[in-house]
Amino acid sequence: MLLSSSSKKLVSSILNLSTIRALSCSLPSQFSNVTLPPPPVVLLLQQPSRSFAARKGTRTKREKAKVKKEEVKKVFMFDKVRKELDQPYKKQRPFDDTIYPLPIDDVFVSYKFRFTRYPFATAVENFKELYHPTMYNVPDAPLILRVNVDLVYPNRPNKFQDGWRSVIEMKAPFILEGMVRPSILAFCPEDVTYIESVFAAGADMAGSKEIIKMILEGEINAKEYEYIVAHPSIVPDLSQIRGIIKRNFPTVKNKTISTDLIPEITRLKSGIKIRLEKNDREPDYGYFETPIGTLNMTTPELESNFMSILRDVVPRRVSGKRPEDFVISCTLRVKHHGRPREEFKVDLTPHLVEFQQQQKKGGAAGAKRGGDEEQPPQGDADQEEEKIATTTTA
Amino acid sequence: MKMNSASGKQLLQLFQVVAKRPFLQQSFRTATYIVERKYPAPLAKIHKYPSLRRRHQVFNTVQDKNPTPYVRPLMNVLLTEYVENVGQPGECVEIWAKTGRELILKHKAVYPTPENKEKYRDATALNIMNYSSRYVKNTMDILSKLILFITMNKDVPWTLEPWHVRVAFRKAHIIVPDHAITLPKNPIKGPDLTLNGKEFYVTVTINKTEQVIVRSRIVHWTSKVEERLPWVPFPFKKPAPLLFEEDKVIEAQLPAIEPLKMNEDELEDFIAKMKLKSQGKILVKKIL
Repeated sequence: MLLSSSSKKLVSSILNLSTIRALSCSLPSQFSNVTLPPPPVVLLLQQPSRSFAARKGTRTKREKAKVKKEEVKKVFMFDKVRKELDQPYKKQRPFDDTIYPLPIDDVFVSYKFRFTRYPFATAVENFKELYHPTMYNVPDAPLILRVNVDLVYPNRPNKFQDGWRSVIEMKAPFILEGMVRPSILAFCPEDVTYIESVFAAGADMAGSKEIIKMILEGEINAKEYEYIVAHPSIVPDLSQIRGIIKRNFPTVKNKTISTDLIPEITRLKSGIKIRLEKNDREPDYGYFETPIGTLNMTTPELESNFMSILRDVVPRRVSGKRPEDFVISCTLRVKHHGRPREEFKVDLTPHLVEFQQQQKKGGAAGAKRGGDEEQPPQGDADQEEEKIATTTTA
Repeated sequence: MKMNSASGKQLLQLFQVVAKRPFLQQSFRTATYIVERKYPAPLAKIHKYPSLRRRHQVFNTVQDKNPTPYVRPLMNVLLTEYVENVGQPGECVEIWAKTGRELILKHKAVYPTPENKEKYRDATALNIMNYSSRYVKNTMDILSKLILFITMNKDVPWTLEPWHVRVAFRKAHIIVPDHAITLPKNPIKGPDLTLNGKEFYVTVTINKTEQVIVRSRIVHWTSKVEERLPWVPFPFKKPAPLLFEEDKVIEAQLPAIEPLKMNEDELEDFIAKMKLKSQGKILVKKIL
């Protein structure tokens, strides 16, 4: 028998208890109702070395060593939102269909094979046929593009790109139901003919130092205007109203200060706002949806609008990422209530050729542009090419 | 009593220590590992299990650190018959080994030896039933059961053309080119509400060889919500009157339409539900 000192003590204590139990049996009948605690469960594996209390100094030390748990502040959340978060997340990234075979025949059932990627022109023609006056008779239905984007850094699976916002100029402008053009305020030099030309370009309000006075007096509310554009000659006078127009103050970076205001106004007027939607649960994927035009327009017009969107999106990729990896897919659909709900994937190979050639010429295209958010950058191809040229030479 | 509480804590500690041990964690790992018997097992007798002892359950790991994902083993097989979605007779196909062995058991395929390859070189000479490609039989089965609804406008005059039919096919997830469609000889013109829901036949030629007859009906539709025709429940489960009386011969050859499995009471409940839905939709549209 090899018993440690502590276990010996334990055995002795059990013996003491058992003697009490034995005594209770021999007690007179008036004490027979006394209930004793149940026999203790004994573990001989690990026992405290001593039964007496610890010293005062050690106790204080131990209390100090205990790390206080930081109370997590409860964020207020509606029950609906909390329930949605608790549910398992369904991924929004389009399904990878490469496991399905390619069709061989000229007649086939489409859901048994890989998705057909239509050229842009045929995808538009398909919609034009479906909404032809002899069939569904909605010839002016709006055409909507969805762009799916992969946001993972190359060779770094745990790092992801940020989202962005932008205003893209449409080469063939159009108006849809419920679409509101942004209102513009323009500060011009003191020249009557110039102010008239700015009004003709589409500005809602234009003038020189008179307007600054009117804003200070309160006759004009500057917060009603979404964009404020200014000529560099009048910028020093604008410092009086810097407190009134806080965020919308024109800057060179946002291209709201320029010597020629008319093209900037047309860009902001005919532009379409875009915001990349991104989810924390799926940080490697983002998408956005925009109208491209209506089915009344010709296919080259629609294709030019489509290209202007791609010219804004594709240069936002990180350096070292190929354009065909960045843009996963583009789908076209028509905004029309009820059936039929048809969608067509666009074959992007002819459209991505120019970006691939740029990458071969000079490494990373638009690596720096990914960082700046909330700034409306431009979709002009010429300006981008200049930027790329400057980066490569430096 | 003090002893009791202490023992409970210790039990929990013991459980935690045991749970962290590697042999319990290993059972949750999901990957393939290569393993080798330390003492080789004896051969089994016919129709009997091998007599395994305890020493035969001792293993040596061959590969553990870089586990490879499971890949289906493939095998080459020479087909002797037309097999749906797999291949044509005389074709050498690479497929999953399990299905390949099943095909050989059913005498639908053989091993691709040079002797067998010579035997099945000309499938046409052996008079084996064949289609133009491996997916054709499946598409023909689907097309013969299909009822094609061609939605045409109620307000604008039209005559039915092949591209109208092509768009209707595409809506039903079947892709058909223009040259594969042949319409009935008599022209169909509209808008005509006497045509609505009547049946006529369109023939589709696959790969310019196989021909399938497809039941098709015209449905009138308008963009004005109030002037639309009333909703019909399960039109694809009911036979319809013919548009041309000449087609009676063709109708007899076609497979019958599958009847509806619902009771009358269930159908009434279903109709009541759908009407409530449609009323709600119309109300929302009016408000907007």
